[in-house]
Amino acid sequence: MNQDPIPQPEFQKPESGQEAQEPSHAGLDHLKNDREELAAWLNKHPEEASHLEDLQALVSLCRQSEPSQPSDETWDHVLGGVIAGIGPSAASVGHANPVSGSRTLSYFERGLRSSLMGAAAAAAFLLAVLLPHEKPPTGIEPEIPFLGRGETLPIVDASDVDLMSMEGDDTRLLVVGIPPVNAPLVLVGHGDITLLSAADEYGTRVQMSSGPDAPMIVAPLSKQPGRER
Amino acid sequence: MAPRGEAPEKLPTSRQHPAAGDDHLLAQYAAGDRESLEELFRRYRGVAYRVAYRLLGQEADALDAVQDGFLKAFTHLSAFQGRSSFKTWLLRVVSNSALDLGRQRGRREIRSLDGWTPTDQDTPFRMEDPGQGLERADMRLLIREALATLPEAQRQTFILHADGELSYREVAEALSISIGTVMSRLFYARQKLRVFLSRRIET
Repeated sequence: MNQDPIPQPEFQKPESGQEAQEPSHAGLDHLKNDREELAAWLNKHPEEASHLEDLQALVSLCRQSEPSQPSDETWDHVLGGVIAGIGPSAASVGHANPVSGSRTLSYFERGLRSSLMGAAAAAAFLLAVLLPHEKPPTGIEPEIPFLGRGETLPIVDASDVDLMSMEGDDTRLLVVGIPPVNAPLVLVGHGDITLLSAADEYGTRVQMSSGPDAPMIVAPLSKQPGRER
Repeated sequence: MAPRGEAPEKLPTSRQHPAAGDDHLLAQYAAGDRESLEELFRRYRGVAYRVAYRLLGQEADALDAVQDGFLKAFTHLSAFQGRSSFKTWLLRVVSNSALDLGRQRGRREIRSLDGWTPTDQDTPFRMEDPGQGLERADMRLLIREALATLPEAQRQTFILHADGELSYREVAEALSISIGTVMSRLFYARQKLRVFLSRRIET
């Protein structure tokens, strides 16, 4: 699920100017700006006051273990990708663009592209020659009926969910694998049944309702042993 | 980014705007000044990288997220209305790019806490020198493992505060949430991190 890439912050803040330049990474100076908010929050949650040091210590710990910065050359590549991706608006200001094309390629893509092209050609040849020409199985991914054939909207996937516990009686509801049916299972439809007789031999009676579900056949199950319906 | 193996034409690194404020640089960029973009990039690439790296755990992925974040920011500058600092806004964009990238590449390492819920009875975490005996890289890995146990919202909040060096208010601005929510997320994250790190360091 994609995040909104372009946030619209809701608070007012004075112009940052120089204060944002090359921040002093070792300190916790910015916490001073939070003093009032922090005091107000701790007023409501006094039980957390004793843990504030832990939080600040964790923050310091993170900063002590910060990753090494990439080289200037690497940053030049990244900046080149940004400028290339911006496209005409960047080109219009006369930048010598080191990356051709409007789409930037990631490290991951670039690293794989050259090696995969050769490997893919060889693999395609081997597959064409060696594998039997049978239609591969399809339909592994179930279609979600209520979303139609358009684009699905995944909210979470399997890796996002950890099943922590389940009551014993609920285990019968646990479906292992892909559910075969993802919609109500309709055994018969309206119009598939023709009522031939409504004899009251076994206590059967017919109810006629005004809705689309009429008629409804009601049969007591245990009145006639051996003849339950 | 240019392909790793190719030698790109060296981009000029702007040093002509060291004293200019962000708003001035943004206005200059809007007027067609390429070097303003480069200066803003140079100014915030480091902090953006730290945030992306902490969310993704790999240099190449982090660089991709930084590139994608800057690209989105500069191609949607009209959405930035100056109600927060540019840095705050940019880090939100970069961190979201990193989270999206992490999902796409399936490299999230969610570790189950096996139903564990933090309590005050858990072993107290003494932070005087928690990293003693651990190399920097080991500590970085340990922190990454600890952060992976957090829900995404808590992780993003904590990283924006710790690595992005955003104040509580700035984190609230970046995520469009209240300061109280920021506090809650940070303190709950702290509880989990504290116990996780205590257990791992003891072992």
